Amino acid sequence: MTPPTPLSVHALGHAFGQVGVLDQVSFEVGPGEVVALLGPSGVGKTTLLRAIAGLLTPGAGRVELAGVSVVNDGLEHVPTERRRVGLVFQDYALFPHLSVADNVAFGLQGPSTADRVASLLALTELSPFAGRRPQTLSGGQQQRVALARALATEPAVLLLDEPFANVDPALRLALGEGLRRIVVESGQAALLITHDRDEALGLADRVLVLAPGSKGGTIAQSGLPDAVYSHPVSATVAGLTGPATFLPGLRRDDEVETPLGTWAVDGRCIGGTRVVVRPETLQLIVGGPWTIGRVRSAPPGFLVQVHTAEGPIWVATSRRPTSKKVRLSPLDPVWMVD
Amino acid sequence: MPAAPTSHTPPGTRTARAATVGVGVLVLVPALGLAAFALDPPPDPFGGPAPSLLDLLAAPGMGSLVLGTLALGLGVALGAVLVGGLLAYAAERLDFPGRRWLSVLTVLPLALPSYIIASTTSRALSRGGPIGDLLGLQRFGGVLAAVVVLTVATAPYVQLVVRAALSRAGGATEEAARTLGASPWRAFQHGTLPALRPALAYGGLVALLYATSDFGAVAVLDAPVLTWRLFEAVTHQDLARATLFALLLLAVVGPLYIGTRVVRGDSAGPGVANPRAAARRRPGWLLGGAVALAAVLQIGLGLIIPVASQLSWVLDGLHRGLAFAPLVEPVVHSTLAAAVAAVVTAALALGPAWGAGQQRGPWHTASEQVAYLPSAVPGVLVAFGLLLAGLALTRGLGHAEWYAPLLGSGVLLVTGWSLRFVAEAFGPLRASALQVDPRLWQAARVLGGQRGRYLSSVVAPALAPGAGAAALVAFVAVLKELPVTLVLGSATGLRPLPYRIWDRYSEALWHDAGLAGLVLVAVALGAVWSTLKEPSA
Repeated sequence: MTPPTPLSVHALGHAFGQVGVLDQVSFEVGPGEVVALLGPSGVGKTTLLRAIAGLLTPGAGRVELAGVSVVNDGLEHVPTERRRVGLVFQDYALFPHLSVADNVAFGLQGPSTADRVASLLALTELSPFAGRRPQTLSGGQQQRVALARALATEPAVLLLDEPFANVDPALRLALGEGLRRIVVESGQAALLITHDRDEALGLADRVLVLAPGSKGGTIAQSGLPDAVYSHPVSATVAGLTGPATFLPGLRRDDEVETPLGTWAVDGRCIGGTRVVVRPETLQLIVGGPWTIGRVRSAPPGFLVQVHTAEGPIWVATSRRPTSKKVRLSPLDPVWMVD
Repeated sequence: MPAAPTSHTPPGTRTARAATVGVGVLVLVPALGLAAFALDPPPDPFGGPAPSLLDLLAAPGMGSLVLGTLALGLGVALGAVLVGGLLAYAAERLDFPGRRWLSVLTVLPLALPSYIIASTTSRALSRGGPIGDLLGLQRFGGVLAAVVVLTVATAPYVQLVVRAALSRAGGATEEAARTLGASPWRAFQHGTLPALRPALAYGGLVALLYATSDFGAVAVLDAPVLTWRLFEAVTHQDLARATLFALLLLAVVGPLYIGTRVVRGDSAGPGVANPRAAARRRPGWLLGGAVALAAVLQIGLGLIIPVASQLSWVLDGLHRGLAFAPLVEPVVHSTLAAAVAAVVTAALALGPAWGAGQQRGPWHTASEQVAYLPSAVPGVLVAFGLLLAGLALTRGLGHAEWYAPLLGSGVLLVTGWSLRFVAEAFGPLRASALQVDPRLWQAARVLGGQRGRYLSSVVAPALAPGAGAAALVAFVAVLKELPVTLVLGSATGLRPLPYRIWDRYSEALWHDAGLAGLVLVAVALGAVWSTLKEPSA
């Protein structure tokens, strides 16, 4: 028998007074799938998460958890404490008066509690800290306690609210990989909410882009991380998923005429008036009309600023340029948006 | 010539340390006075043998006095924590119509002296009073009535402290508990209550010390407690017996104080910077009923009955053509005395507050302890200790001519008020001192700033709101204060409003007591209103 979909959100909408926050948001998170919800600050990410968790009743739309409708058009069927969602808060929200083990055991009952806590502490590599209070642990350890606590109740879906917001950038990569390992090993469906594109693209199986709309945040694109990055449906999505410059382009069949030259267009691209230029999609060719400006170290290579008729454009290179005058050429057929 | 090297220590640090030591010494004065009289008791005014503590303990009725004091202290502390805590929770976490008004009105009894609440409620709720007759009550008096009245008077303190703690705690841990399957009560118990424990214990301690220091309300309600007997002994100039009562009061309050400190414990953990406010929820019928009951108690007994009763006393006096004693002198005396005491109290709290806000380690701890120490004993003991210290000075040095001017000039009275309320003034000042990041001095030095300019353009503007709030808090507190005023104020010739109210109430001149009370309440309500609007307070 097919397992029920852990999380389904249908046409969810919400407003605070007259101000629309979310509009017609629909998506699903499949079994064992790690989905990232990427969006800028203030677009309604946390409101959406709170609506799923039952900490806020949305004005419209339906949420189903493991096939059970928990809220439908403003009518709450299931309160938070019976929804079976695991939530890792931005500041972790650990109980300061309880030990690490007691924090993890908080949502558990019955004789198997001790075994379950021990296995989760082992999974999160926290066994040596079982008796410690959360405030005596490092930020990364606290995050793992919050994760173990949320996983303990075997929730239908794990909700991660910007879990790396309070973490040193140097530690983010390691912690992110650690978190993904734990989530994947536990076979848990998870929704990661973040405004950090590197986190979203690097950790998720699938990315949802929540972009501002006239009536609030709405899902602008959903897809595999690479597809969302390489083939954004709009300039907004392109800007949210990575550094981008937009060049005006006149499409002629499978080519586009730009102020920097005539380039081949990706065959999957339909329509579009602007070419999306990512730093790594262009190459520098020695000798040309454009001048090299600043060169920034971006290990393992460099980011080179090229002054063109359309303004400065950043290009990623593996070696420091040797010539002052260059022209630009795409490595692959380019992508266009409206 | 090279410029003199600038100190690495932020300006004001040494002055703050010296001030902290000075306040520490001043705090010890009442204790020294009490110790001097305990070790070398004065002769009995009627020529009898000097009483001993054992004699006093063996005296008939002493057991009920001690039990009454214990019951009063514990009852008020518990009542204030329950009522104040519940109303604070309602104001911060619940959603119901009229919530904003309720949260303001239930704090306003802060402006009313407990003896006014006691005198008005005892008449209104006893036989012959409008509510007493309606409900068929005989007499509203005794320890239980004192517990109710003093709970109403002290619950706003708990309410304010707990509201601030609830706001700091945010809602994340409670929400986390709910997502883990906890019921609303269990979520509150584990998500929020641990963060509130220090505030609840502190609020309970404030209520406990208020109750065991008060003798206006207990006298009006005829509640047999040690404070009232202590005041009687002072008024009869039986200082040896008064000293023994003071020691006994200390012995009763001491364990309660330690108990509250144990309950308070260490803070459960660091607070969250800029916590997200918890979502408000609609209360169920049980919680809603409890909040409504607490609000009726606070607003009814703490605001409506006192104001309406005093108004009716005044109208009755007018109707019967009774003469009203002029109020100019008490109002002027009250305002001037409260203003002087407010400035002195804020000045006294400034050094320790700056030290606590700017320093870490032993000086930080010392600054906090010095400021809070006087509030750890009943205020009446501070006043009585100061009185004994003045007397001990004349006894020890043999210069009786020093004592009369010391009492008559009001120096002891202002010192008594300031010591009594230094902790209240300390809070807002420390909050302001914490706003001055010690690194600002480093930034000022890098920019070539001088100490004087730094103090005038950075420190002074930052401290000004806190100093204003501290003075306002002290002003309101002194305005309605009775125990210290009665113990130390008699010899000054000062006749402030509390003195007038107390005097007229004792003479059963209700119309005069009512008018003076209304004026006092109007001034204090205005000040409390502006205090509530002042964020740093």
